[in-house]
This record gives sequence, structure tokens and C-alpha cells, in this order.
Amino acid sequence: MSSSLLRSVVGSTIFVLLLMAAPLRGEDAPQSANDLLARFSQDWNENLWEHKSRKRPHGYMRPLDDRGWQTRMRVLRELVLRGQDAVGPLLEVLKGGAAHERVLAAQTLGLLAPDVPPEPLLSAAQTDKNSAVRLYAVDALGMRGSATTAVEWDLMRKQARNRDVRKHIGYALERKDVPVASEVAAVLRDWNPETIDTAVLGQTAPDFALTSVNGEMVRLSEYRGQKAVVLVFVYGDT
Amino acid sequence: MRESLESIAQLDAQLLAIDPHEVWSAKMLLKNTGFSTDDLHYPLLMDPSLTVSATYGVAFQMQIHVELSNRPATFIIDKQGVIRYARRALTYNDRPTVRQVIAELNKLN
Repeated sequence: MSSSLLRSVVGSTIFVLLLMAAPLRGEDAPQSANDLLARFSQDWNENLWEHKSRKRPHGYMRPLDDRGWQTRMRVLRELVLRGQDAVGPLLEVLKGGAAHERVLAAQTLGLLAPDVPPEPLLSAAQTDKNSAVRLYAVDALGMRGSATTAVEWDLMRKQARNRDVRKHIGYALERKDVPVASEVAAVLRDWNPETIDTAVLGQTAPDFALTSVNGEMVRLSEYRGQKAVVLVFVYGDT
Repeated sequence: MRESLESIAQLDAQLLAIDPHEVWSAKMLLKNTGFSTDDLHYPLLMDPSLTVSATYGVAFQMQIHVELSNRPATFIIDKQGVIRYARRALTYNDRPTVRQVIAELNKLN
């Protein structure tokens, strides 16, 4: 084989290998908000809920081996990282996406709160057919803080058909126009997603620092050498 | 509840609770039940960024009423910072009893 033919064979082989490798490295390539939302839809199977309880609070669980929640978390973070650029695509999804996509959109818009116009959130809160979407749209309106003094919360609460939506209107009122702290989105942006699901029996507990409901900052590693810790994750009063 | 907190304290352990919401829902619950945040005898830590819930493998795994929230879970971490007990709930009310937690704490010593 001549050297120039050899070079072109090697060159095109490398090119083909790079093309094949590209999907595997897709995570590194910058993805648009719409790409991210598509990824979420791919991995999140809305039909997987199980173990429904017969009485209130009607809890459904994801199967223990389902990993859709991890994609959801990564996508949420990536969307928040895009900030203002994600708002437009998210508002489109809030208007016309599938129900589980509209839920994610409303939830994400809450974290992007100051940059989000109130009208689409109001519309979703009042008219979306899905109660989870209405609930998260209510939350997002509350998270905008004083920018929503125009919201007639009492009227909205009277008109709300769903008990949980009404409850969340109550939380929005409880805020008294205090917006979501910018720190909430900042902590999410700063979080390393490779630490997802890394609490393993027999290994060092991942450290964290969180603020308690009465304003006290608590860091897990402060207890080392002092006390054992019983760490209880709760679903909270929803 | 107070007795169980005392048993846990006597075993040189600290109870911490983690809630994936901003403070408003917890404050309203306390208000509705006639309590204030001063009545809490253990830290109720808020994780609205969901980062700790995701690190500990519980975020978004439960739909309670219409909202998505954490799968309930209990971890016991010894004084060296090692996880010695981990239980993730299979149903909304699947959690170890106080007696079980105390038994696990006793195993650490």
C-alpha cells in the first residue's frame, strides 16, 4: 500500500472512530435546554409508580432500581445552569409538553424565579389540567416573591379544586412575598453531580451543610469524634 | 417522642431530619399544630436545592399527594463518620421503629 493511501485509510478510520465515540461523549457536549428535556423524557417513565397506599397521603414510590430520578436531577441542574437561556424553552414546554414534562418545567421555573414572567405561571396555576403542574406553578409564583403582589391568592385558593394545590397556595401566602433565596439555585449549580447516590453502607457518609428551619447551620462532619448521627430523610408536609 | 429523643441522646447520638422543601411548609405545619420552631428538639434541616437528598439517593422517588418528594430513609452514621445502617423506604410509611434505631445504635458501641 502506498504511504498516501495508508495515511488516508488511517485518517478515515480515526474519523469513523471519533464519530462512533461522539454519542458516548455526548454528556460533555453542550446541550440545549430542549436536548436536556428530551433526555429527561427518555429516562423518566411516568408509568413506573408503584406501591400506592390505599389511604391518604396516597404515596406512590419509584421502583428501587429505577434511575430515572438521577436523570431528572442532572437535567434540573443543567437547566438551572443555563439560567435565563432555559426560560424560553421551559415556558414552551409548560404550555405544550406532556404532563410529566410540564411538571419538570414548572419545578425548574421556580428555581429560576426572578427571571420568569408571571403570566405563563398564572395561566398554568389556574388552567393546567394536571394538578401537579398547577401545584408547581403555584410554588414558582410564590418563589418569585414580591414580584407577584398582583396575584390574587385568596381568590385562587377559593377556586382551586385540588386540596394539595390549595395547601401550596397557603405556603405561597405564608411567604409574605419573600422570594426563593438565590442560594438555592447557587447550591444546585455548585453541586457535583458525580456525587449522586454515593451514600453507601460501610463507607464514609458524604458530608453536607444545611440550614435548619430555625436558621441554625448544621454540618454533618462536625459530629465526627463527638456523636453518632441518626439521619432521617422525610418527605415533608406536602 | 421526648423519651425516644432522650434514649437517642443517651446513646451519644444526634437525630437530624432532612426535608426537601424551603422553610415555609415546615413553618406552616408547626403553626397549624400549635407549635413554633422553638419546640423542635432536633434540627430539621431544609434541603430545597435537593443536593443532599440526591447525594443520599432519595430525591424524586416518591409521589405524595400530587407532589414529588424524597423517598423516606434512615441512615445511622457512627462517630468515625461511617454509614453503619441504611434503610430506604419501600412505602410512604416504611421506616424503622425507635426501638430498632436504638438497637442499631447499641451495636455501634
